[in-house]
Amino acid sequence: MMERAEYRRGRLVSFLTALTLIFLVAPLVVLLMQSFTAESYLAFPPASYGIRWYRHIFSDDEWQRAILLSLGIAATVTPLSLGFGTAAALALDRGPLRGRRAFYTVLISPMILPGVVLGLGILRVFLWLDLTDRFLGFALAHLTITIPYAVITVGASLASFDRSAEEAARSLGASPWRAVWHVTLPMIRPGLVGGGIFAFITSFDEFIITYFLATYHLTLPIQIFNSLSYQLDPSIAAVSGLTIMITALLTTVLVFRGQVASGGRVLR
Amino acid sequence: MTAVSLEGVAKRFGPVLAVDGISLAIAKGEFVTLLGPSGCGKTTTLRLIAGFLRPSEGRIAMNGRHIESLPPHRREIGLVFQSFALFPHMTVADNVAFGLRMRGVAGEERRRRVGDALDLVRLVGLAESYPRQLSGGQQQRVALARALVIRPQLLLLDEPFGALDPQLREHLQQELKTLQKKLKLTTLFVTHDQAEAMLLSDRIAIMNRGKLEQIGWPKDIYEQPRSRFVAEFMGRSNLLHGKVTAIENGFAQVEAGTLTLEIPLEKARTGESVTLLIRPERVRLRRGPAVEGIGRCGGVVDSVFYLGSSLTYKVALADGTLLQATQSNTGEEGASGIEQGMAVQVEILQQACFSLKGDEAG
Repeated sequence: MMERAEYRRGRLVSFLTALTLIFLVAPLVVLLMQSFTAESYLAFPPASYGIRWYRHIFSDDEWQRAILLSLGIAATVTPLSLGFGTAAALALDRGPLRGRRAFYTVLISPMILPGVVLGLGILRVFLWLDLTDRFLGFALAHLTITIPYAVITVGASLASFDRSAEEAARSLGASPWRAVWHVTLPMIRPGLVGGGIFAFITSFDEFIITYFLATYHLTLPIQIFNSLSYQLDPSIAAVSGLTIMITALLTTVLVFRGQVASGGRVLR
Repeated sequence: MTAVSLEGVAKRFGPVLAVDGISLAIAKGEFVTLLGPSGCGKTTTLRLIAGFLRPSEGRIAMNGRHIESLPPHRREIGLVFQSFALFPHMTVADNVAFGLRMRGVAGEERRRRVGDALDLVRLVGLAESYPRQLSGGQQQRVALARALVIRPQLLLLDEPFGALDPQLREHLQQELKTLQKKLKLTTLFVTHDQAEAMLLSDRIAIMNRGKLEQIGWPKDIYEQPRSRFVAEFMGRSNLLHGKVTAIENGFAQVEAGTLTLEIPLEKARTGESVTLLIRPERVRLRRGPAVEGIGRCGGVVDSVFYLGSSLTYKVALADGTLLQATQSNTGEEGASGIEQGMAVQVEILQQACFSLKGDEAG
């Protein structure tokens, strides 16, 4: 009797999970299928399939510029976030206890603040510094929201990191910096990889703050948004498809690497 | 010949005095163990010597040179942790080579010294393995080789066998002792396991609440504990409270309940209260009716604990005192024939008793 009830409950849970999954994934699937249409209009399901529109966005000047700008910003922001984020996480982990919470809260507050508020604030300051509508400005603005991701993921790795390995390195003749470089950083690599991927995805997807700063130089999300308002051809589906694929690829790496790394870290 | 010396070393964490004025000298090639319960300050002392903490007071010297302000990486100290603390992203050979790499030892010399160190701990075939592929015992050997390859002035070991199962632990203890003697390593070992300390050490330093309670040869510490704490930490013991009733050529007669004992007691005064320590393995039990006398009385077996190689009995004396007695399990009639509820004769040998000073007896 019990087993039967449990079996039924299991069926119900599976059913709800499937439903949720469909609800979340269905729009993406529809979009992805539409992006592979060979027709010149958006329809679902497409009458015929092809990569016509992917070819189009890669040859179209406007799309190309947007893709390159977004990739360039993300590629610049990622190592910088990791550098600053790791430094901040190390400081939080080893520094004096006093003020640690306050420092941490300040560091990750850009993640919590509403994007509109943050975007407006950044716009005001950047107008004054002449940093609007420029690569440098976009990159700096993105850093405010990507660094917190690095701080959180690297910080989590450091929290579970057994300091004795670093101390062993110290006793073997490594200066503090060399011990961190040769032992601590390699050992918290899953956190670094995770933080880097989060930073990349966050920057690549960023819309609100960038929208405040952009006038002529448009990142991919803004270009998609803008083109929606005057045209609705399948190139948008292709661009969105591209974004989905990049994000999915990075997330897969994240999941896979996370497992491999934690498996390799077990010592006993 | 002093390799390491601590003079009045103290460490304060806020209001807590973790190490309270420790003075200790370790001779070259000596194996000293810091023994004590958890929280007694032994690991803090080790970390002070290794350089991860700076003493609040006092001085630490190695080979006559003060090192309190020297960072850990300049102290030439080999360190082995309970958690092994191997570098998981490096092969065994790279783990061992790390200290040499940091010292700029390269090429052929590095390869040779790594090989020698692995040879020393009998792990040559595993040089290219990763730590996670090794057993606990092998990992501990890598940790030891890694610490030894830099030819440290001092080897510090923090409960290095705590995470291993008993059989393996015993095996590695023997190995460590052999290696330490062969290389004449000055060693400071930290543990809470008194049997391990007795097995390995030239001298044992017992710590309690941040202070050194007693330091000496294992035998002296076991047989002549200076305080109740040391007595109880070093092994099971019976503590009896009594009064000195007479003194005769260096021997004091002490009455403790139904027992009258004669023990060597210098500086004893008639009428003085004393606390006597009696190790259970030096209490003899015999079946049969009691013959009263000095060091003898009757009792009833309250309980029996079978421990394999030995048997422990709790015997109730006439005044209600429970006395522990341990007999080795020789298989002879006398040892194994004693059962619960039996009337037995208790005999305490003269050399079985030690008195603890009144103020420390607690």
